[in-house]
Amino acid sequence: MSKVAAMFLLFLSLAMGACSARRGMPYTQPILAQEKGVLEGKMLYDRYCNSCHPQGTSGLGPAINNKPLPGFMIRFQIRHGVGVMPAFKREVISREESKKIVAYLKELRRLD
Amino acid sequence: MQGGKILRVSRDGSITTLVEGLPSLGDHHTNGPVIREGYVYFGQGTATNAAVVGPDNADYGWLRRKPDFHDTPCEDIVLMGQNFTSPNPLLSSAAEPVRTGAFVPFGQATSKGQVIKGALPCNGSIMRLPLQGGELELVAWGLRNPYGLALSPDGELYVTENSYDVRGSRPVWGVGDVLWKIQEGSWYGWPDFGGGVPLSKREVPGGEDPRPLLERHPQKPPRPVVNLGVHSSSNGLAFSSSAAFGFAGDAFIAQFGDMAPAIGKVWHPVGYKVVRVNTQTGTVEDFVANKGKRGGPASWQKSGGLERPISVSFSPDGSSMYIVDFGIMHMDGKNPKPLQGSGVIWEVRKTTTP
Repeated sequence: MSKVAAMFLLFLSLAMGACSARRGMPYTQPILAQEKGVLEGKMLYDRYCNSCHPQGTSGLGPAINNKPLPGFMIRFQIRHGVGVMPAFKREVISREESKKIVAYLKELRRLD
Repeated sequence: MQGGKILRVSRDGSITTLVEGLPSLGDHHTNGPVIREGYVYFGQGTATNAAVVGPDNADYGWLRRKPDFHDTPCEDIVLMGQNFTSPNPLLSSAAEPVRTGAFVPFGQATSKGQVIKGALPCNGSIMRLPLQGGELELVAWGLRNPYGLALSPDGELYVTENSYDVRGSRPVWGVGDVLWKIQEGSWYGWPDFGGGVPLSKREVPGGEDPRPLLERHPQKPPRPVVNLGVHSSSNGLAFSSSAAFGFAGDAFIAQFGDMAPAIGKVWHPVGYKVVRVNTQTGTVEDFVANKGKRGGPASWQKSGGLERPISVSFSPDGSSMYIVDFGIMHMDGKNPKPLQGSGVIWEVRKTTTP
């Protein structure tokens, strides 16, 4: 395992330990943000991420609506995957699109 | 039991069989119906999880009753000749393992280039026939378990598809249920794609990606309207068409909830709610779900509320939604344990402006 991946896993485990107890509670209100990037991020999230993390909650994968990860770490995880989570190449999720997904996730967290 | 039927019940109580002998003797049943322009449309699920009959089908109970049953494609297909070795549950545990190919009975191997003839009725399909009876027609195929069929307010046919499980001789990991907008004549990918993506591109933890079973695919599958939770069992489907309820044009899907661990492991309960889908943007939101720090069925949360929603429908004026809640069904290892008398019909009405 590379040093970068090891550092990332260490950071991830610390972040998971630090997050709140809410793992599965759905947001009962829809995203109300009108910012284009957030709305596009929601569409991208639902296309690529929702199967394993339904609306940010845990399902096949862990919840990600309560993880205090910074944006660059989320983008790293999208690009490289972690554990059983697959990596999404640039041809599938572009750099701009990954930023929009992060914007949506931050909006989810803001509702917390 | 000779398979699924479509019956017409007249106002005077007389019952006419429009079609019978549908291939629903395996894992999945006949679904629907939806009526459009003089035809009754219905879905027919596959016999197996991923086209290969295996020991999981003995666990489900039907392999011993119908040892020759298997999936039937809707059109001719050419096989890659993959065979899968498994124990033989039809004989003693000391019996030799057997090899089974795709679209053939248990214990029968296949070869590369072998042609499996298509036929109607077929598995993994949506079919239709005239309301007064007549010839079956194929509408779409390559659908693992096309469960909930519904027409949108503009008359388009949509269907929920229950996707693969991690079981049997060809387990498939990590493919979520989907909502499709049906294009007549299209092939939707089963058994080599999930949600429009080749299974060979999936990363299976600790295992090999499932390799294609078909030498040639009828087409590149369409893209789903929306991707739903893996193992969410997204079943019943209905569209709101009224401002009196709100969200006119949106689809509502009853998610029965996972049947883990029999179908695969999950981190957390998946489904057990009704979700709303904007079919224009391909986005999904929870619509009716239990509150709590962790989502899940009421019996798991030790509270009141939804258990296993399986069907959803609207009143004729569109002002009320009705949810059929199957009730409590715990999983005892591989076996479901439904609790008698726990089912509920819920009515949902608009009380505030959304």
